[in-house]
Amino acid sequence: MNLKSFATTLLTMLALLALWAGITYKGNIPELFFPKPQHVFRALLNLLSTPEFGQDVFASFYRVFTAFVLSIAVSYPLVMLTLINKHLKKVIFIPIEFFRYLPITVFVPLTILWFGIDDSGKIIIVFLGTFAQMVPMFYDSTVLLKNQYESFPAALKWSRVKVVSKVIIPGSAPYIFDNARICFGWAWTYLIIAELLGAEHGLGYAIIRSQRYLATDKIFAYVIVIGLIGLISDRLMVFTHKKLFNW
Amino acid sequence: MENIISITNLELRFGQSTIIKNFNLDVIKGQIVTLFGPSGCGKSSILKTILGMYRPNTGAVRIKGINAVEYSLPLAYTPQMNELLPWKTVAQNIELWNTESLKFFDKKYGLSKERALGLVELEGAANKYPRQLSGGMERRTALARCIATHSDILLLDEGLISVERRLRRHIMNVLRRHIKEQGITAVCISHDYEETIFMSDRILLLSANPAQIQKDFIVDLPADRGPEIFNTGSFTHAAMEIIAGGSLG
Repeated sequence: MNLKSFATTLLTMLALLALWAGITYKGNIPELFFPKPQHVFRALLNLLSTPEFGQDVFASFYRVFTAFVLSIAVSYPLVMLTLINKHLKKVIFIPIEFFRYLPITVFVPLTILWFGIDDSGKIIIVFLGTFAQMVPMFYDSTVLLKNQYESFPAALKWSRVKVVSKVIIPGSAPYIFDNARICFGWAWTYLIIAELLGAEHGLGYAIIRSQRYLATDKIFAYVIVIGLIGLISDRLMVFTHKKLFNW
Repeated sequence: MENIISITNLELRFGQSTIIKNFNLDVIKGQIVTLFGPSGCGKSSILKTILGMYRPNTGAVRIKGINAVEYSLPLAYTPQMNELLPWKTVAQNIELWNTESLKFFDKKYGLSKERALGLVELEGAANKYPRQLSGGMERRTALARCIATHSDILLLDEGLISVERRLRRHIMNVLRRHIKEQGITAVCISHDYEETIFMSDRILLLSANPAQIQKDFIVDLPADRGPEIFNTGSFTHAAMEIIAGGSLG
């Protein structure tokens, strides 16, 4: 990040903070509905010193990361197979399109019924949500390449497997990585939904726990934590993308 | 003489529109044939049927007697859109086609990577990635990749387009000599009459879509050609044939 964009980001954050402070100090809004920034930051500092905070962050990270890796591990090979065998595309895409348009919350009662409120249910929820989005996104990244390099199989007489391994896999890697980054953001959204509806630990559950005690400042603090985790992981992935695909 | 490429009654349709209709062409071993015609008349589609990318709706396209779709040996080719792999350097792009095609032949038909780079004057850009190249340099890389491909058949789809005039004459000179020395059979597409006459043994003037042969003539120039050829009466005569054929453009 160069100095100019850093300054723009900082100014934007300060402007939002000023707006928040302006509304809460001048707006005569009860603290229960919209706490002042100083109270939220105090709650945030208190959170950081509690053992529950670490447990919640770790539990959420573990669930989202496991589900995300699982989604990539299933969707990526499936997409590559559809490029090698075009009949597989219909077999795979019809059920996925069906899943893709279902709100993820409809699976929450089922996963609680089948897996209880432990980690596996949450991982399944996040997996279902991200996997169904990943397959068409990964497919679009690869099919672009397939059309772009149509002379390779024709001139070099390469088989489909060779085109996929030598052209599509390396060529689509930056697009796949970028789409995976977008899906990682969605994975967090699904996780929080799953945790809101039943868990023992996790950032989503922590929000519900704070709501029970009407601790709005804590809810705000957790929202900031979730946002910051998302922002940091996104920036890390953008940085890795630049390093890996500098061509 | 042995027919290397044989196109019989070719008809090619995309949806409702007919791109090629009743097209016939026999190219004998070692001959350089150029298809010269207006943009969009279907010249590239003819090359793509030779490559086996398009299946004819009617008729047949055969390479050495084998259906083009089933022909299993590599073909040296410059695609219109270059198709350079962006994660490979200029040298690596050329090397890929060079090594991949060598597996199929005992004889080395293509130039070495170094000679191909030298021919198109890209030695200094060998380690650059395609995004670092200008449009002309990208085209020269695709051309070098084609010339470095080991194949006894070469298909140039406007291979020298966007190459500067001075260099174009030099490449034409070396390329024609290389094709003749190796006994390569070539089908070229061009909009440039200077390139067409210099490179070709035979020129086919095509009509607008659907492409039909308006004129098919042998270029009356010596097989061994140099830059002096541009100032001869035979060259001017061939140019007049093209202009009279009305296919400029």
